[in-house]
Amino acid sequence: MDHALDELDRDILNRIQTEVPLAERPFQMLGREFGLSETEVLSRISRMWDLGIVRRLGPIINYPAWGMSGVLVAAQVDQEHLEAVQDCIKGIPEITHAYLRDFEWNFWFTVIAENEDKRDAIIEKVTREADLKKVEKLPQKKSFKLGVKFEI
Amino acid sequence: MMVSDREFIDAAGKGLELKARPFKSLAEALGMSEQEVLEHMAALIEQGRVRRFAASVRHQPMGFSANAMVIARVEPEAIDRVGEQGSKLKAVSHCYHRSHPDGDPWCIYLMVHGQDETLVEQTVGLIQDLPGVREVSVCRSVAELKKTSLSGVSTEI
Repeated sequence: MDHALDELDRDILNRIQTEVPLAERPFQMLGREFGLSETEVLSRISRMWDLGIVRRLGPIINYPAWGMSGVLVAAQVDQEHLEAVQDCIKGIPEITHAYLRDFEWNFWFTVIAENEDKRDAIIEKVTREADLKKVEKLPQKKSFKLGVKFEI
Repeated sequence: MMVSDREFIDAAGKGLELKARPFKSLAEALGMSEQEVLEHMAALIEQGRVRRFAASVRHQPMGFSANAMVIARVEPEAIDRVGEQGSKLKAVSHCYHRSHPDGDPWCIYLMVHGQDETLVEQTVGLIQDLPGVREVSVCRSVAELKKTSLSGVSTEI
């Protein structure tokens, strides 16, 4: 599959990362901005979807405003427990992102739960089941940049 | 309205279908009119409970093949300055003040994305040179185990 995006694809992508119009025909509105037909906008977004670039068009929620609690967690885990890590996080929808990193703290994940108690219970469960050696919660003290919009 | 805000956001969080009138099927699923769905989403944005209604993307297939998480240990009085100056770097997508997992409370976390390794390294160099930065750790992801959203609801943590 051709992974190349042309300039219009990139403009559309930058635009929809900021906002998808709340309108009955959002793609028609986008089309007017870019001088394209509704069908053309839809087919360009569909292609970027098939390429795995666009994952979802939907609301990005301000989770604390819903009483939810989320945090980034750094952990240390031995290589031999990586399989347990994978198995464990697979079954926990509240763990939304998980990465292995080439750092002393080699396992990083984010958890978002209904409330703080549930959040901490999930961290406890992962610690136990995946045999994490060290675990540290890293809440944001301040956010300087929440970038999703890229100049691409 | 028939459904609770939570039911509404859970349904909307699944994401739009790619078709000409994408809010119509959502409205049908919720037993609301298309116009009610649009108005309610706009109201949740107005109230600040939804940051925005937008596309979520993956960076990797876009050609951001190189990325790193940079943890900069900084002088306590330089926290805000480093955070602000670091945020201005083009390759930095996210920038937060958090504690270091070792307990050092004076750290700035920067997510750096670049089309190639050179841009990432240049950016790391620029971060290192910011006044007040004592030390930087560059943590590259060696594996992405999971990238999803909770009930389809995207968040930024």
